[in-house]
Amino acid sequence: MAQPSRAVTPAVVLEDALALASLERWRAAASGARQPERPWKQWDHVVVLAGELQVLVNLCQQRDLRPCASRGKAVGALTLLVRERSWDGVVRWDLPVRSRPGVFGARVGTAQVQVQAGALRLQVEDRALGARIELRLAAEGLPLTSPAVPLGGGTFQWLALPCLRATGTVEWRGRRHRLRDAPAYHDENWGWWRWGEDFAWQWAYVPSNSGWVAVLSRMLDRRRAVEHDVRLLLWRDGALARSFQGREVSVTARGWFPERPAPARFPAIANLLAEGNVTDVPATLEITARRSNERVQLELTAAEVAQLAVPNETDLEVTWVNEVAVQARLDGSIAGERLGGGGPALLELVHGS
Amino acid sequence: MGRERREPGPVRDALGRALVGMSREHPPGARRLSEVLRGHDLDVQVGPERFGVIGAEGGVRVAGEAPARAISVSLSPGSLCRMLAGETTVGRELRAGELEARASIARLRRLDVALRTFLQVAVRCPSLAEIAATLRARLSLHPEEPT
Repeated sequence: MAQPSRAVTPAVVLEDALALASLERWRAAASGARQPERPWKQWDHVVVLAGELQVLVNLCQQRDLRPCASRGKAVGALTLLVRERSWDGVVRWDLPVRSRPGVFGARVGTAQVQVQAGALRLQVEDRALGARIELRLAAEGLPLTSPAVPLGGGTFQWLALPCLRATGTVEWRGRRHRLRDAPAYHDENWGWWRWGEDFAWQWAYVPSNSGWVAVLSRMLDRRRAVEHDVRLLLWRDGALARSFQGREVSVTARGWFPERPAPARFPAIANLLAEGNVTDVPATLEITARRSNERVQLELTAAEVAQLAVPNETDLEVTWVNEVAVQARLDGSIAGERLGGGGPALLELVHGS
Repeated sequence: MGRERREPGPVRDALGRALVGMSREHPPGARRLSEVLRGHDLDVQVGPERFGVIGAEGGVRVAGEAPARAISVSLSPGSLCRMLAGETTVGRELRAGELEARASIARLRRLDVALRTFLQVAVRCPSLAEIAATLRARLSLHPEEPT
């Protein structure tokens, strides 16, 4: 029987690309289904940078490896960070999860991300906080997927949609923000590893006000002495313009983020797991990429740090995930076109405990 | 006439339930805590409530009274509430004089390790969040609840 035909529109291509990626994610998860002790993880991550308002939502699903968990059971965590003038937020652990193989999207507690009418739809509600997020994230280009790269004792893969436009509302502690075409980013990550293993990563999303969008992805060992994978990716008008990687990219940390302003720590109980205001966040991260006569310089200057505590699965410590509000400056040239601009951006540093 | 039996106060009750929860939900963590506290009992005072924490071989347990030579820890119910809410840190409460601990330096170091171990196990036990929330509510409603 003939199948009814679908018009090939950008929205249909996006839906098909995401469905294929979800199938790949499910296939990877299913490959270890008979080994319930394998530490499967996946998450859906959304960042919206709307000028003074910055929003980070992470819907995490992972195999529950705690001694009290049923074998093979999945458990969810929701991270909700909002920066109006300073970081505020919540991390909720032990949430029920739901996702379906081959179907893009996830539901963790009262948060969900799904594809609807050719765009991503993000919905989050947290009544205790007076938080409600309802955003439509329209893609200006296709998703990009990475190969599996080593991470700790396992592997890690991602799919990124860095050229999104967010429209909708963000209510936070009773204050209501209306967004229209704000720069936004989404990625899905999946793989096998344990928190606390020998890894670290550095990641940044930079929607420059010149129209360029840059993403840094850097995987390291825990001491940050061995670089397993590094990429600086640049998009223009929704299309991937350049992908620098390996020896083409150098990353240099300069100085240390000062003790003031103090880092905001989440969940709240994490304040008892750390003393003092010192973080190992650099004051500035400088990224340089070169290929023949092309050169890109990206400078990220830290403005404020939020620290998320993730309990290790290897010992009785935590891994700190630093979400750093940064001011970005982009410079250089690609194919004869000069790069410039900058603006608010987000840097994530996972540096182990 | 024998001594009147005292009902456990809210902090002792919550700590007792937390230790049972840890043994059930994270046995390796409970064993680690037991190793850290073995031979190092605590004499805990939270406002008007006073009890002992015994580092016994079979696991850590709470008791109506602390043995002699226990590490002495005292704090106010308000300080405990602020810490449970993540509004402050142990160090800040110590510096503010809201939390006091008395013992030799070596035993204070042991107390620090025990506290960190307790917290790290607590964040891995699903039932502990509910126990902490209930305790906060009880202390907020009855900060001077007699024991």
